[in-house]
Amino acid sequence: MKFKLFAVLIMVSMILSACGGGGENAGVEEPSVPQAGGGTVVLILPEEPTTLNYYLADAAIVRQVADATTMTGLVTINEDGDFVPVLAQELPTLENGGLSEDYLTVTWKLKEGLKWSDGEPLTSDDVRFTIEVLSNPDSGALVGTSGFDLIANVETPDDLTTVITYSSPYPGYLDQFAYGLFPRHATGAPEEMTSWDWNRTPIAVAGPFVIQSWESGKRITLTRNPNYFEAGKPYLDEVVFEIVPEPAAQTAMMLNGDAEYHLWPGEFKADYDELLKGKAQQYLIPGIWNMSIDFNLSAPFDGDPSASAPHPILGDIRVRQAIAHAINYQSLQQDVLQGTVSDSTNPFAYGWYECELPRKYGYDVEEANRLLDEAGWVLGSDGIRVAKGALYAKDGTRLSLELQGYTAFDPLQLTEEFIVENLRAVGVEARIQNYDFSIIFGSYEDNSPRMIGDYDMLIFDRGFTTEPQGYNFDAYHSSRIPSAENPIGGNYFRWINPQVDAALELAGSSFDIETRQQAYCEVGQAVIDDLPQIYLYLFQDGYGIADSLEGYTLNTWGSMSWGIQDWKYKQP
Amino acid sequence: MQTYALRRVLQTIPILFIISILLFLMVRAAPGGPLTAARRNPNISKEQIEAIEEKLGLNDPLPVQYGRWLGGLLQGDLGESIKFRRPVSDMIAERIPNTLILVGASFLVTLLVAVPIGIWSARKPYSFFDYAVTTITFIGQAIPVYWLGLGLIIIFYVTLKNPITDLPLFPVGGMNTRGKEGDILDTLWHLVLPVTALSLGWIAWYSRFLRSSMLDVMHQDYIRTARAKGLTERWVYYKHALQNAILPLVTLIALDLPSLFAGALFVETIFSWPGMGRLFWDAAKGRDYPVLLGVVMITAVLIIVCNILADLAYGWLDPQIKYE
Repeated sequence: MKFKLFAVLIMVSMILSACGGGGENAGVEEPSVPQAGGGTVVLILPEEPTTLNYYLADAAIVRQVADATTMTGLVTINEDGDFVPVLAQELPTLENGGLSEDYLTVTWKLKEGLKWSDGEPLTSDDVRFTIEVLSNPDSGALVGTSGFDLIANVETPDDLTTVITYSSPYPGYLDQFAYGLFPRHATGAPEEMTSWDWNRTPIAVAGPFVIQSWESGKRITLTRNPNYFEAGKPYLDEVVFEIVPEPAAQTAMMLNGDAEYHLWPGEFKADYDELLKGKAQQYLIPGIWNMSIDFNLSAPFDGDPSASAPHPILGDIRVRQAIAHAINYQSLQQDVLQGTVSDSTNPFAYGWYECELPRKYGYDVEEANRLLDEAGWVLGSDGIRVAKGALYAKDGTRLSLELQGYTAFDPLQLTEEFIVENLRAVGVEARIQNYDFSIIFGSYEDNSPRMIGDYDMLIFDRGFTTEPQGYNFDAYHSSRIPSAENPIGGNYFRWINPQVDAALELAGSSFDIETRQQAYCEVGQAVIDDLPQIYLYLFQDGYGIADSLEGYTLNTWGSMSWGIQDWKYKQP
Repeated sequence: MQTYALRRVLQTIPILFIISILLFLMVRAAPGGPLTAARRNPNISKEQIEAIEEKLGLNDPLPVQYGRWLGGLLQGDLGESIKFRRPVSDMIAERIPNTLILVGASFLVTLLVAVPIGIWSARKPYSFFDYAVTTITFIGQAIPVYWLGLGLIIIFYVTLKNPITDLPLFPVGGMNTRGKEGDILDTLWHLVLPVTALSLGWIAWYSRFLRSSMLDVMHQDYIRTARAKGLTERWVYYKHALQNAILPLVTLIALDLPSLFAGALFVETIFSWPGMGRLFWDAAKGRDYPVLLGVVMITAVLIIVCNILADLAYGWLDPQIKYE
C-alpha cells in the first residue's frame, strides 16, 4: 500500500514536471548555472522600448536596452559624472592638443583595430557619418542633436582621425559623442533615419552585446559581440530583457530566481530586501528628478500672462518664506517617502554643476506663524488666515491657494497630502487640483495653466542632463517668461532677477567648468533666497539586483545596462 | 436569407463611416498628444518638439488629419505608429494570434464548463448542487480579475513547488519559455493560469444565464405537452427544453466574440501576455494615435460582423424566425 502511494506520488510529479516543459528548462528561465565568465542574465523591463536607436527615444526605457548594444560612443560619462574615453584613445583637451586654443577645432583619435559587431572596420568615416545624420534637420532625431548644428566642417585625414571644426565654441563637445555611433554600411540615408531597419535590428554595433531576437511584447535577447573592443569582455554570453508590466509579477520573478536585474521595483527598499533576503537587494542611487513646489509670482486669472502685476498672496516674499518654514522636510523624506528620496535644496543637486547649498528657510512652525502675522494675515474662525493689512491682497481675502500636480504618480500625491497638512498647521489652505500629465505639461496653445499664468502653486519634478544650460536658461532667464509673443518660454514663475540673468549668460558662454559651476550656484542661491520655488527632495533610482551578480556599476548618467560588459556571476 | 444578409452587410458601410468619425474625434479629444512625454524630457528641446509635430502633421486641422487617415484606411493602410515607427498593420498582426490563443482558449473552457453546470443546476433547482454552484458562481463573478490573477501567481508560482524539481508549478507569465517558441505544450502550460483567471468570471456569468434560461423554458406549455405525451424526462429536458434555452446564449456569445480580438487588458498585463489589450493600452497611454485608431476600428468592425452573424445564426437555429 505504502509502495503504491509512493508510486502515485512519483507519477504525479513526473506528470507535473512533464507539464513543466520537461523539468530542467522549465518555462520560467532556469536560473543559469552561475559561472564566472558566462551564463545568461535576465533583466526585467516594465514596458517595451520603442526602438534601440537612442536618438529616436522619447522615454528613458529605450536606453535601458540601448546602453548594452548601440550606445557605445567615443566617450561615456561614468558614475562620478566624469567623461572617460571609450572608442576614443583619449579625451581631446587643450593640454593634449585635441582642442585648439580658440576652442573651434576638436581632433578625435579612435582606438586602433576597432570593428563593428559584423566584422566591418569601425573608422573615422563612421564618426563623420554620425555627424552627417545628427546635423541633418530632417533626420527625425529627437535627442542627442545638441551642438551638431554648430559643426562647420569634418575632415578624416586617416581611418583613426576625425577633425571637427565648429562655427562657434561649443562647451558640450564631449557630451555630444557620448551616445553612440552609426555604422554607415548598415544603416541608410540620414533623412530616412526613422525608418532604418537598424533601429530595431541593429546587427552592426560597437557595444558589448548584439541583437539576437526581438519578440514584440515579450522579450529582447542580445548575445555577446564577438568583436567587442575590450579583450575578454563581455563576460556574459547572453542578456535577455523580459517585458513584464505587472510589478508584483516582476518581484515574484526575482523571488524565484527567474530574473537577476529588476528595473524600478515597486516596493520600498526595506520591504524588498526583507522579502528577497538572501536572493536579491534593492540599490538606490541619486536620480535626476528633483521635486519642487513652484510659485506663480504674478497675478493669476487677470488675462495677462506677463509678470506685470504681483500675485495677491504669493507676491509677498514673507508668505513664500512662511510656506518654506511650514514644511517638515525630514518627515516628508523619511516617513512619508520612506527614504526613497534624498534632500535637495536647489536645482543643481547632482552632476558636475552640483551646488551643496544649505536650506535657508527650514522647518520652523513658529517662524512661519510670525512671518504670516507680520505680513498681515490674521487667523480666521475656521483656522485659515485672512488678509488684514496685507501687502497686495484686499482685506478679507482668505489665505487659500491651489496646488496643482499631475495624476497617477503615488509619490507626488503623498507629497501633496503631506504639504496640505503642513500648511494647514500655520493657517494656510492648500487645495489639491491634479490634472493629467498632458495638461500640466501642455503648451501655451493648449492653455496649460502654467504657461498662461493661471495657477498659484505647482508641484512636480524636473531633471537635467549633463549639459544643463538650455533648460536653466529657459526656466530662469527673465526673457523666457511665456506670453503670446513667446509661447515656448519656460520661466512660468514669472521671476525677474537681473543677477540671475547675468549668471545664466555667463554659464552659457564660458568654457571653464569651474566658472560655469559657480554661475549655476549663484542661480541656485538666488532660488533659495528669492523662493520662486522650494526644493523638496531628489528621487533615487531603484534597481533590484540578484546577490549572485557582481561587477555592475550604478550610474546616474547611465541606465540599468550601463557597464554591462563588466557583469559576471560570482564564483560559487 | 441571402438578400437579408446582403442588406445587412450594405447597411454597415454608412455605420462604419460614422463610427470612424466618432472614434477619430474621441481619440483626439483626450488631452495631450504623442509628444507629451517628450515635452518633459530634459534632452529634447521645445523647438525639436514643434518640428516633429509639424512633420507628423499633428498641427493640421482635424478634418484634414481625418481625411488623410481615412484615405489610407480605404486603401487598407492603417498608417505608421508614431512611437515605434512601424506599420500599424504589422503591430496588430503580431498581436492578434496571441490574443486569439488566450481569449479563444478561455472561451472554450468557459463553454465546456459553464454549459454543463448551467444545465445541471437547472435540472434540480434549489438542490444542494444548485446552491453550491450558485454560491461559487457568485464568488466567481465578484472576484476582480486582477486580484484573482495575482492570487494565482502567488499560489502556483511562488508558494507551491514541484516536490521533485523544486520548480514552480506554473510560469509567472509570458507565452513561452525562452528558446521554446512554437512549442505547443509549452504554450499550453503558460496558458493555464491566465485562462483560469479570465474564464472564472465568464463561467459564472454564462452558467447563471443558462440556468435561468432553462428554468424559464421548463415552465412553458410545450414542455407540459411533451411530458403529457409520455416522453421520458431525459428526452424532454435535453432535447426539447435545452434546444430552446440555449438560443439566447448565442446572442451572448456573439456579443462576447469581439473580445477574442480586442483582448483582455488586465489578464494580459498581469501575465505579461503580448495581446491586443496591452497594445491598445500602451497606445492609449502614449497617445499613439495611428495604433489606437487601428485597434478600435478593427474592434468596431468585428462587433458589427459578430452582430450580423448572431442574427443569421438565430434564423438558422430558430425556424420561427424568418428573414425576408
